[in-house]
Amino acid sequence: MNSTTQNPSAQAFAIAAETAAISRGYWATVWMRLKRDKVSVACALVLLSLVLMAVFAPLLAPYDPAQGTMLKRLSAIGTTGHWLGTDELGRDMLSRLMYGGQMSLLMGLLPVFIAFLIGTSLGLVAGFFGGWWNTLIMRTTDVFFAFPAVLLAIAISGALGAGFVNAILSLTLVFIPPIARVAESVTTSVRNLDFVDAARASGANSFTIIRVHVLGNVLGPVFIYATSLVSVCMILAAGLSFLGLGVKPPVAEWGLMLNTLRQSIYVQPWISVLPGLMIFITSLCFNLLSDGLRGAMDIKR
Amino acid sequence: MSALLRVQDLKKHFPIGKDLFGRPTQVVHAVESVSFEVEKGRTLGIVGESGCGKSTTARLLMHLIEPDEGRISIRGKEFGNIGGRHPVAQLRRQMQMVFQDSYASLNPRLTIEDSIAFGPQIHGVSETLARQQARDLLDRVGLNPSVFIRRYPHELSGGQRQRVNIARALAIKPEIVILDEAVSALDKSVQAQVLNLLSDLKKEFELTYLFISHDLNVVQYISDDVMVMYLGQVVESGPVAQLYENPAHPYTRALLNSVPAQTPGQSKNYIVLEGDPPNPIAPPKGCRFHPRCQFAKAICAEKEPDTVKVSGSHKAACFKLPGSADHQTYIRLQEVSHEPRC
Amino acid sequence: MNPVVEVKNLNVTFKGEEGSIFAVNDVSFDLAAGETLALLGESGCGKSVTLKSLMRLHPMHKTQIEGQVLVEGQDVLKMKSKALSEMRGKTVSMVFQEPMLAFDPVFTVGDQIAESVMRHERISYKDARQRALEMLDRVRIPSAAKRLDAYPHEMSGGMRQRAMIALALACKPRVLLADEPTTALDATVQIQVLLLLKELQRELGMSMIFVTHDVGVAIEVADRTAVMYAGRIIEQGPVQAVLSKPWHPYTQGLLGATVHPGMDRNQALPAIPGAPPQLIRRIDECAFAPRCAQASSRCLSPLPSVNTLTPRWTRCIHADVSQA
Repeated sequence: MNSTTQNPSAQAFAIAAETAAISRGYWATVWMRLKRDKVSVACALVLLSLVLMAVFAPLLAPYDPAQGTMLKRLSAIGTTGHWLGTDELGRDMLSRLMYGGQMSLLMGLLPVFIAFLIGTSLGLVAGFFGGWWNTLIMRTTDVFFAFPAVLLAIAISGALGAGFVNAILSLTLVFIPPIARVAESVTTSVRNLDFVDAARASGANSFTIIRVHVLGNVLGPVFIYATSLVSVCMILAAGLSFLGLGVKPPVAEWGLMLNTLRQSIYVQPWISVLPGLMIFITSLCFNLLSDGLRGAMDIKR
Repeated sequence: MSALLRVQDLKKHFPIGKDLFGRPTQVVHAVESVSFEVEKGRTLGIVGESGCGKSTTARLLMHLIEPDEGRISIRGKEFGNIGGRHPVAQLRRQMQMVFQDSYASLNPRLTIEDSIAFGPQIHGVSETLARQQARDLLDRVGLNPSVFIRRYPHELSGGQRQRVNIARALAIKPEIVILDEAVSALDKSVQAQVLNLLSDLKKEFELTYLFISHDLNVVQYISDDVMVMYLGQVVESGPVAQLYENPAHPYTRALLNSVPAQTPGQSKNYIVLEGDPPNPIAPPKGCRFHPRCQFAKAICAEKEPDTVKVSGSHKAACFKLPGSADHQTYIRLQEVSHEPRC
Repeated sequence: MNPVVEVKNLNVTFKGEEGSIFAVNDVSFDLAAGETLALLGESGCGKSVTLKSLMRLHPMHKTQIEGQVLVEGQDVLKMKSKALSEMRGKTVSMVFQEPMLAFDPVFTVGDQIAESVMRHERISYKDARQRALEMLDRVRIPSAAKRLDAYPHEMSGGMRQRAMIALALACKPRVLLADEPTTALDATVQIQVLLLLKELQRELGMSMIFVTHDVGVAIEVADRTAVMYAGRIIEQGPVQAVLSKPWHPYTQGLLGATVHPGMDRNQALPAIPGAPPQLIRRIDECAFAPRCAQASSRCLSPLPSVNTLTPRWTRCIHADVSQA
């Protein structure tokens, strides 16, 4: 190792100490730390089962979600054949909640995912190149910040008209600015680190530096932020549907179900609470998982 | 012998704050007409306190910051982004840099191997070859490749990381390596290991070093020539032995004197300067050191001293030196009584 | 005379999710009135942790502290929180490496010093301001009256460090704990602050514990030194003796590896190979043995305890203690 003499036993000791710690990669370490976090694991399991439930709803659901019998309107929870009761049109609640998960999860995840792609790109460009690019992109996003998220989503949806695609579109537009802003601030701080200068000093061009050195360090924090937005997005989507701006009846969607069951709250309060409970559980799990992810990804030197 | 690296009148002012019309309200005079030469195979030490512009000088040389003015040439070839000069990309093949913060200068998401192999691949070396070279270099800087190659920066100690940074700089096969406080953050026992490594590598790869540090003892040990900077200007430069034994500039004298003795029992008479180095936003007029200088006279506050020869290649910028154009004026003036400034 | 500070068998363990860190093991030392002790060592050796234990500044729920820390005969580790806050700043006071952290950015320096005096001495705001002014004058801050109303960020690094010393000394403490107070300063400012601290110590008759990694700084300020390695004091004695004729191979290695004027440039530096151990277990054998050229098999079994009451001692079993 160097010019000073060293006794052989000491050398053996030092080498043993070096080989003892076997490197795991970064993501493997994050994964290991996440697995140790009981809350995150529980949330991930709940979310996984919700997704599986929604995906396999056609196989799992005991009834057709759109088919109801007027005779069995608003049966109570625990009724034989209808474990979770029926809604105001006599449709099986369990089946509707399962099918409703498809739309609700999709409307929670898809806008955030698209906004994540677009917002991160915008933020990267604004943060890395700075100057004019930054002013153009960040001032434009600032305009969106002038309106509360709910109002913005309603306004855009209202202008575009009701419907699934328009709801996704309006929600995506709502989430691009905050994601772009986070991506911009993370990029700005990464850009100023010495390893970016070292890469420039190696002769790399901006594109290569972004691809190899900046992107990997920006995606993590932005991803954590985006996961925390999923719950907001679900609630907003439910709100849009509640107002009649999202999906239309008779499609099952938790927010819409909450709306239509609103009148039945005095007859069967527990049934009308069910869709809300699902939204609550899902968004809570996304939030807690995002928290756990933040902790797991924060690996110190 | 002609110089390998020649720097002439390097200058950088940073505008800070903007008024309503986008005009800068204040200017940091970071580097002001810095000129020097380094011969092949020698080590130039650059010393000075915080804000003296030594790190900015390093970044200007690498064109990580675009200089306002000045010429940088290697073997007579001038580099820069202005028309007619050789492209900066070529400069960066011949000159590399090691930074102070060993952690911040490595990408936390890349393995050690990827970090070292990155540079050569940019310059067209095949991936297989670049990885092979990375392994050889790791071995050369004293890290067992089979142990470290797949490691991430956070799994290494500070000393090991700095070895990786040195390997990364050498991967491009530069002639000149700028070491910007490269050993300053390391513990003494580890620092000695890295200093030894740097000496060995210098011989083996026939490197030329620019060694930037605030640690005067380390600079004395490793450098052949030394350049002392104060508030963006070079106040004194020369061969290490002459400059340390016979400092000509009052600042150099105070700076060298302020280092506590490393051996007990030698009580020292310190030349204690008043106050901190002033702010480079509004540097004092005339000689920038005059507000803290015990020999300052009226002329020092008015006129910037010229750089004159002390002996051989030893040069300094002070009116006290007999070679100075205004030396006679200085001698005739009364010493001004000193109000400590801060 | 009774020592002002007595530390007996101090152990500090940090409990973390991924296991414990045995930061300080079996540290004992004492400090007489007016004396300066330098805790010398490299990063992670436990010198700062030891210092913070004297004021019990560690986060309670994560730290396990054992042993005795007697300040003027009272055990700091057993104090109730009221007595503790009374002691902090009055009997024992501390200066840090980064003065920006010691000051609250939203209050003026003068008010912060005055506030500390008012809390401990129950005097009026006016008198406390007067004391703050005296203190700023005493640490030789130019135009002190004007600086009384300055905010911390309006001061330069060296001046902030002086202001922090003024804050620490405002209640005339018996013991000053200094945690690398000059490390972040420039060379010409460092020497100003060191000389100032020495002078103030003499004037106020304080004792001082000075944590540093810089051999030169230790020589400049201290009467005695305790060299720390891997959470233990490995050698202790008068600064002159320890640093001119070190007994422990680590101290020898550290002094050898420290670059000093007059070294032969054509010779490699005598570096210590390897790196300090991780403190993830309690090390009872010699922690330096894996890096030591003189190590034998005996060094790898638990070391015998040393009489820490003698003026000079070392934990090394191979040391030639005849040459003082």
